[in-house]
Amino acid sequence: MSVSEALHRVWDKITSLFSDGCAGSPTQSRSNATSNGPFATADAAARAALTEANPKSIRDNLEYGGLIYEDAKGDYYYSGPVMGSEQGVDPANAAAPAGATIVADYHTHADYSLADPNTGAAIRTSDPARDDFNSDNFSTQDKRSAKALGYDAYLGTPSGTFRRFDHAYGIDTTF
Amino acid sequence: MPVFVELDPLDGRCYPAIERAVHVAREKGLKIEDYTLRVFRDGNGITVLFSSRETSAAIKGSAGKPGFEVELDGNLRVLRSNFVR
Repeated sequence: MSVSEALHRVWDKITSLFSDGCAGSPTQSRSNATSNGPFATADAAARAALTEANPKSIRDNLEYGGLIYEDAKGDYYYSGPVMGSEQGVDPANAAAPAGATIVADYHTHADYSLADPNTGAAIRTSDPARDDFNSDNFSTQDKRSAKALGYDAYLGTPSGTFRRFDHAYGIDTTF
Repeated sequence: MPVFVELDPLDGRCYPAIERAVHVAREKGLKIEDYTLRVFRDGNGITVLFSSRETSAAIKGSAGKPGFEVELDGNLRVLRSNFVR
């Protein structure tokens, strides 16, 4: 890790303590993260969320995530993004306001990485040919989560491509 | 019909896929007893997912020990294997 990356991580950890609860683990406590919008569609909200989160995620080689939700007027917003770990995030840690309808979640896959053979920790390579995580695609756990939660999932990838997983039909597309 | 469906890993028809995937996972050094195994039909293939016990359905990616997945075709040829994020 470079000095610049380390400083970014320390700064994000400090700021997240004040704005996003206890960051750094996908099982962190829920927060009152800020919300952003309104947008006319869930896709538009997700695109804005991923446009914000994906560069941070690649820079830090950490996952970020949040929720896409609809208010009573039919407008769409996103919560977060909150920081997760190198290999996971719970998007619900970026809580939606009471009364809002959650319609999807989003998360990012950080940078291309190898897995440390002893610990499994992600070691950044920034090279799609040297990636042990299939980082440009939804994992099976990502899809399982969307099916279990009952709403669609959006993904930001290290290539910069954004993907959507339709939980009802099990279809994975770029958008 | 949904193209992504979780299968019952106790169904004997899943056993050949699990056996093949466990072989791949062991080659990667995974201690199988540390994981929960799940099997999915995804399109025309079968994917076996090795999840850490800390990874709940709410989590995107992995919590705790990184998960692992093995995708097989209908003839149980390994198409892909990778850690899970």
